[in-house]
Amino acid sequence: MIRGDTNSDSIPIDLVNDIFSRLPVKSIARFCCLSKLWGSMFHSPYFTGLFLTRSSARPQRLLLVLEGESNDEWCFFTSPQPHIPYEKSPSLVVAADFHMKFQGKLLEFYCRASGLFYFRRAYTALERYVTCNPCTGRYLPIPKGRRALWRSFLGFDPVDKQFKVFSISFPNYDEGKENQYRIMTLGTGKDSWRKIRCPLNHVSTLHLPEGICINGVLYYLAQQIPKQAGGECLYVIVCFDVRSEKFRFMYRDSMIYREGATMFNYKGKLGVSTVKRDYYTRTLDVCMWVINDDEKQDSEWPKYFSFCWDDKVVNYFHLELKSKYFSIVGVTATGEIVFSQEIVSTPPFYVFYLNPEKNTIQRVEIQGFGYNQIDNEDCYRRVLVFVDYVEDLKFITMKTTYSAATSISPSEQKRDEPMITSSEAHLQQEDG
Amino acid sequence: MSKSEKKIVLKSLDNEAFEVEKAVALQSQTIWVMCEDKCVGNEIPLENVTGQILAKVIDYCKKHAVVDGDGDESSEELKNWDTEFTKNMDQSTLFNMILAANYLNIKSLLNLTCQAVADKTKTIDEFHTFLNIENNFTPEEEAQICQENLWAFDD
Repeated sequence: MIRGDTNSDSIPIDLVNDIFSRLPVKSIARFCCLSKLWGSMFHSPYFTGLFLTRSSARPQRLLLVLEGESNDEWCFFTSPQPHIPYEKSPSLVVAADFHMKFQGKLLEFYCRASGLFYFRRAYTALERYVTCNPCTGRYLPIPKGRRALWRSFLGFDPVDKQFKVFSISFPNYDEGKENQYRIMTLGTGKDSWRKIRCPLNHVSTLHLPEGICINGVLYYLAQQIPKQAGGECLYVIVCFDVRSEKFRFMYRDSMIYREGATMFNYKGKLGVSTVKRDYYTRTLDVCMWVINDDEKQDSEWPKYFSFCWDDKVVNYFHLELKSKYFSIVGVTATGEIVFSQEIVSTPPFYVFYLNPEKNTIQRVEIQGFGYNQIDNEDCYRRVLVFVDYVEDLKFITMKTTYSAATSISPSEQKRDEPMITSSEAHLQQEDG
Repeated sequence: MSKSEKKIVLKSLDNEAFEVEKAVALQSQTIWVMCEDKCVGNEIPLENVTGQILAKVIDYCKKHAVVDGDGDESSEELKNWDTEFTKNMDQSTLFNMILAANYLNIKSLLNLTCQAVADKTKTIDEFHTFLNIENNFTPEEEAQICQENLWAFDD
């Protein structure tokens, strides 16, 4: 069974797995050089599954992605999410933990699915689509293909445990006006795009919220392209089943397509939330929908919550919102709407948790995530915040087993575009 | 029920005998099954556990047993007791406690001791000793793996 690595008086292997599954990801990464057996064990689907189960049971965290000062690197941090009840104090200070640094130019986030993040470097000639696991530091470049993309999303099929990248690209005008819908399964070693048929010609542009993958269904907002010129551009929620690769479409109240809408996972269902500040009534109006996937619209609730800023906390929150760029970054599993600054200049950095049911607002200052040294107030850096982040070892299972990682020569790397690590993640070189 | 029926004797590998309340001992699924099957008398030989370790296991079971209505410890207190219980255990004791908890099939003790090892063991060398394994990578292979996981070594 584990010949050569242990002697007769040893702890059964499932118990050792149990012990390792309790360690932080960072320790697992360090312990990859314990021995050959354990190095490959940490990459096994059994172990990564065990790790995910345990990690999901722990309190979930915020993931913060901070742009580097010179705009050529990104740093990933996590910090604790506060837990209700927190009546004692409306403000709280937490410390962030550093995870990894990612080299590259400005990025654009597209989607997250089961611990992986999918993004694109924008504004350079050498565009690259990348999926990355911030807690293992691994990432995989996605070949773009020849055709220009409208938008691209990442989905996870929990049954076959496969990640798939889905994209909508510009039509090939020789073949007609239909956009092209393509899909690529990650980790198969082939990394090639397949065309799939979509019964409804639609487009999703960057002003619409990021897509979200919930229980094997990728949801995103799109606009239906009318068959005849002058036809109505209806908004539609596209539900793409990652496993069967079939589309469904849901038409809902156009309210949800207001600017600044955020899609979130509300206890396994799709939620959409918008926030509006009404200066006339001095209120902050929050709207939340939980959308049923089964076409039964009766039980869906648009819930409206109003916070009046005569209240001290709301007033304070209002002032903060006014002075800095805040937006909804998500909704936690417990139903709290999370606001965060979109850019940072000087400390402090705040995240706000609104609990619509309890009518409370919690302010959390996040310290120690590396921007304190900025003394030039004109220096702004983008920050992306994601709620309910669960550490996951996935991705190191896909291609980089121990032997594969050591046997690939630089020339092969170029050809196969294998998984590479953060330490090698200089995208310029890799593109060249 | 007579007094003798409520007591049970556990005998360690090195022939140390411990008389304990039956309710204390029955937290071990292994002992429970043995008693159910009536395949043992009032004395149960435990061939895989030394007296030193068994004494600790019994301490744990006594604390966690609900005996004659005085099992009303608050969960907070019990948690603190558990922390203290494993706090000063060295690697070798923890190693044997895990083996004993596994053999005796006491889930909560197994959980506690596995967590303690995960919390206390920080370095690669400690795990090498704990698991009694050797690093069988060549220095080049090891350097390559460290290079791949550079971010994990930065503090």
